[in-house]
Amino acid sequence: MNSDCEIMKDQIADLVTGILSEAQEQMLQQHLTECAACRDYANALQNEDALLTEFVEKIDTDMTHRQERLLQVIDRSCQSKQTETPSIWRIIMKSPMTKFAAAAAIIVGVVLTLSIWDKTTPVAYALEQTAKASHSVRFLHIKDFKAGEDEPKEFWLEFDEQGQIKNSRAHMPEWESPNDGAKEVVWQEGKAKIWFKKKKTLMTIKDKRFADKMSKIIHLFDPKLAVQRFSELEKLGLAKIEIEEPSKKTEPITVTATYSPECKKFGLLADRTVLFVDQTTKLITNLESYCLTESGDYELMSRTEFHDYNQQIDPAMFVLDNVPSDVMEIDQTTQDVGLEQGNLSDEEIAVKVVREFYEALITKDHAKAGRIFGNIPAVRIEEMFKELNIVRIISIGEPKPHPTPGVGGFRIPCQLEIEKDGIRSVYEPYGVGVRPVYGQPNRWGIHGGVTK
Amino acid sequence: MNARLDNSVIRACQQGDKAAFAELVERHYKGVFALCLGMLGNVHDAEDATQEAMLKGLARIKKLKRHDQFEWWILQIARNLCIDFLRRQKRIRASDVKEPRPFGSKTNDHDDLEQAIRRLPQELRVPLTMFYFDGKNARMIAGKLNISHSGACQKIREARRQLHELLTERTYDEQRL
Repeated sequence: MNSDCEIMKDQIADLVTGILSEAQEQMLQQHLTECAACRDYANALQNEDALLTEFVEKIDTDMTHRQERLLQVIDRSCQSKQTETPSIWRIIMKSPMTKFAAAAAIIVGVVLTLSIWDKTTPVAYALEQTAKASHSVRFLHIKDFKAGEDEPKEFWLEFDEQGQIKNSRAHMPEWESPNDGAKEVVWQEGKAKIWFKKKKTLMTIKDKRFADKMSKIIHLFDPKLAVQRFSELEKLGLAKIEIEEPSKKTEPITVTATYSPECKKFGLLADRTVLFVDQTTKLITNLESYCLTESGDYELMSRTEFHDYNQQIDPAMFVLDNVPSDVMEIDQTTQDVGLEQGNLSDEEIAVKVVREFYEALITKDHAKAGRIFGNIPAVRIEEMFKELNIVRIISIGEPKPHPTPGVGGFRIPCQLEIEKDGIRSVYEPYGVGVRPVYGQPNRWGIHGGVTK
Repeated sequence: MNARLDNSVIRACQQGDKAAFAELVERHYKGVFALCLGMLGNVHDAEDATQEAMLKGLARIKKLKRHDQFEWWILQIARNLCIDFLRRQKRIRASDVKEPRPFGSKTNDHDDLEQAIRRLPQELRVPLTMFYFDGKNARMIAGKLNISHSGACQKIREARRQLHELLTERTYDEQRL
């Protein structure tokens, strides 16, 4: 170790933490080849870095549960006392119950657990029985029809003994997302496989955000939770529940929940929901949602059918191995996607991603362009941009938060110069969508909008 | 976290959209937790402090004028709560707890690391913890702590050096035993 080593120690710490500039790194690497003591120091710090990362990841694995616990605290504090004038200040600071926050929690669907049901007094005989009957459901096939659309969304669910979803498959028709087209989604060992039929693409991702989004959708259709929502909203005075039990045992019991207009504030779209319950099994067979028209009538918005209770679903349904052989496979769980953010701000990395993507296209580095654009294979990128001979980036505009709710990241306008038949012209893509890569912390990539 | 992405959610919260609360919790929980962990040095206290800070923040959200400052604002609330918590602890215990590991007790690498992190001075422990929770983004830490980028890098560098000394000191002690 020589006198330079003390300075180098700082640089080694920066190198290991990823905050060293490229020029300094070159100098340091040179020093490391010559100095065994500094090499040892660098190795030790590298090991400690791995340990720190692992340590933080270990704590991070429970972060969702911590958030849920916080939301439950809000919910519980809301349930402890009724107040005449709801106010979030009171909910939180004085820990009383206000029906508003509790209703929000129910509608959001993030804070309810099945145990709540067990603690509440059942509002009606049929509802209680339906809740109990639903707890023993292991398999279920759901079809969700939207008014005006023929093809339903479909879900195949397998529950474990605790009533939690163990396996699921979803079929999303094209109307649900016209850009993506129809898609099939399955879960296998924490990974989601999504088959985009129109785009002939099979994507594998592993990401909490996607998992949360899917589980929220699926929970909306879980009959146990539907019953629970009814009960809770009625207790809060936000829904009026009417139950009709026909004398004919072949006819279903109908449970009608008419919501107070206040529920709209929490994002509940329907004004009325009707459950149809089988008299023998006490299981829900249909769920219909209505909205109130200006003329005072209730108009059907959507109908959900519950089929094949406890009829075992073929395990192959949860595997998605029937995709055509010509699909493009993108596995984002094993390959790095996009660019690393490093010390750049969100806006800076977003612009860098766009710039490097189009630069890669200009230099015909299709492999790099593909890596930035969701790991699309080079061949496919070449095909996509065969007609578009980009010669120059004219400008890359300021990133704006993506306007579509739930998409996240930015949309970035840009102008390119293209050449066709010897004539150059200005080309403006739709607006490049850039966001953090699912399941790959600190990496940003493109997800669409690269052409018109 | 991009401040501009918060605007619509905060506006919704201020207008009483309770669904937006869950969104805000989801976006900022981890950042607040990392700060509390850095200040308090253990996961359980950090969770309690984060919970209290988020509840307090949500309760006062109507008073927040600069929506783009939410992250800084909630971190200040958390920081103040942690300071109060540490003051209370100090009164109770009279001095900072540095529990020696019982002789011959078995530990693993994470125990050693956790103890070493706790022994770092708070002004280094906070940026270090936040840095590792925030995907190693020094610029983001600088913004959150209201210090310069180079200042954040300096603190992280010093934290890593001191942490190494603490970890190797332990190893040396164990070898002597």
